[in-house]
Amino acid sequence: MIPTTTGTHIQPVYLPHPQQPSIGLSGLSRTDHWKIERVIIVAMLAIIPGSFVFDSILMNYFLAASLAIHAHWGMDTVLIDYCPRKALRLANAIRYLLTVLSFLGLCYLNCNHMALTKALKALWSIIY
Amino acid sequence: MFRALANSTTPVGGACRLLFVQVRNTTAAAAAKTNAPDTKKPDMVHLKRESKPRTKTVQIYRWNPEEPDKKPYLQDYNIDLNDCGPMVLDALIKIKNEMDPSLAFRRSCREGICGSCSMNIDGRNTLACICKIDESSKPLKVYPLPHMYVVKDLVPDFTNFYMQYKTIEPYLKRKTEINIGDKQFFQSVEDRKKLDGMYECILCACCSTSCPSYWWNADKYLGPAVLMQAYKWIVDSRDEYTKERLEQFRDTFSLYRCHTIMNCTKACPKGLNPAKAIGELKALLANVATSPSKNSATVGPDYK
Repeated sequence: MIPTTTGTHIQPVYLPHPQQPSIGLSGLSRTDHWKIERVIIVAMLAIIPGSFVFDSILMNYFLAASLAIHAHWGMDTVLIDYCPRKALRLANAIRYLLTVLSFLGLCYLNCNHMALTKALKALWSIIY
Repeated sequence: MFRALANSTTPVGGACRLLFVQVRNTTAAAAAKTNAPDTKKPDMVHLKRESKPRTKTVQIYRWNPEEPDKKPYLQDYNIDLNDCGPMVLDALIKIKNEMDPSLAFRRSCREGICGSCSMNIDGRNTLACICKIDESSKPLKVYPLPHMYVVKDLVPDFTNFYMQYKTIEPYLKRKTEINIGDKQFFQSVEDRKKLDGMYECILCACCSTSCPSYWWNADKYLGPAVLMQAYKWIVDSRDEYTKERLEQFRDTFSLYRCHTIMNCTKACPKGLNPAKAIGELKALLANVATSPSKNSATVGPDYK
C-alpha cells in the first residue's frame, strides 16, 4: 500500500524498502546485527575489567577484538545518522580501513611488544 | 419575539455584539424586556481596572510565505496577564484578536485532546492550550515544532508525519474469515489493559519533533509517535497481522534510528511513554520478548 497525498507543498515519495538486506551485513538482517551489537556491549562489561584482573593472552586478544568491533559498528551507526548520503560510501570505506588498521595495530602490540593490558598499565604509570 | 441575529460581516467583539442586541431591543419595542444597560461587568474587567497591569512579553516566530525572501524573525507582543486566560493559547488568541490578526496558528479543542496547537514553548514541545503562561518577567518564546517545514508562522507541515502514520496501517487487520455483523471481537480486560498508555495518543507530534534522530532522518525514521502506534496494533489481541507488522521494521531506518534519547517521553503532553513502546518493539523483533498473546476467543479457526 503506497500512501499518497494531495494539497500540500510537500509530496513525500514512499519507497518500499527492499526485502533483502544489504551485502554489508552478510546476509544477517538488521535485527540480528543489532542483537549481536548488544551482546558485544554486555560482553565488554565483563572483558574490560576482566582483562585487567585475569591478565592472559586470550583475554588481551578478546579485549583488542571487542574494542575494534565495537568501535567499528558504533561508527557505522554514527555515519548512518549524520553523514550525508552522498559521502556515505567513502566514509564507510575509511571506517573499514581504520578498523582493520587499528585491530592489526593492537594485535601487533600484543604479539611483538607487550600485552595490551600491560601497555595500558604502563601508560597509566607514566601519567602518574 | 426577537428575530434571529443575521451574520455580521464585520468582526465584532463580545461587548459590541451585546450593544447591537440592545439597540435591536429598543427598536423592536418588545414590551416584556427592560432596556436597562448591563451594569454587571465580568470579573476580568474589575480585576483589570483595580490592579496594576502585569505585562508579559511574548516573542513569537513569524514567517510569511507571501514574502518568502524575508527571513523568519521574532516578533514581540506585550500582553496584560490580568486580562488574559492562564494558558499560552489564551495569550495567542488574545494577540490575534486584539493586536495582530495576521498571526497564524492551529487550534481547536482548547482542552489538550485534539493535538492541533502543538508548538515549541520556552524550548519545550507542548500543547499551547494546556501550557500555563510562566508568570516570571522573562519573555515567553513561542516557536513552531522544531525541524518541520513551516507553512506560516507557527503552522508546520505535517504531510510527512501523516504519511509515515499511514505506512504502519493503523487499523485492525484480520485473516480469519468472518461474517460481518455476526459477533463482536471479544477482548479480555487484561488484553485491553495492554493498550492503555498508547490509545490515548492524539498524534500531536510533540514527541517525534523532539527526537534528534527524527530531526536528522525524518525521511526514513518513523519517529516515536508512529512507532508507538505500530506497537499498539501489534499488541492488540484482536489484530492478526502481528508478524507482518513486525517485519516492517527489520530495515536500518524505520525503527533502529532510535538510540533511547528519551526526549519523546519527556515531551509528551499527555504523559505517554513512546520510548517504552519502542523498547518493547526492539525486544519483540530480537525475539527477546514473548509474542503478544492473541485472544483465542476471537483469533483462529475456533471463532464462530
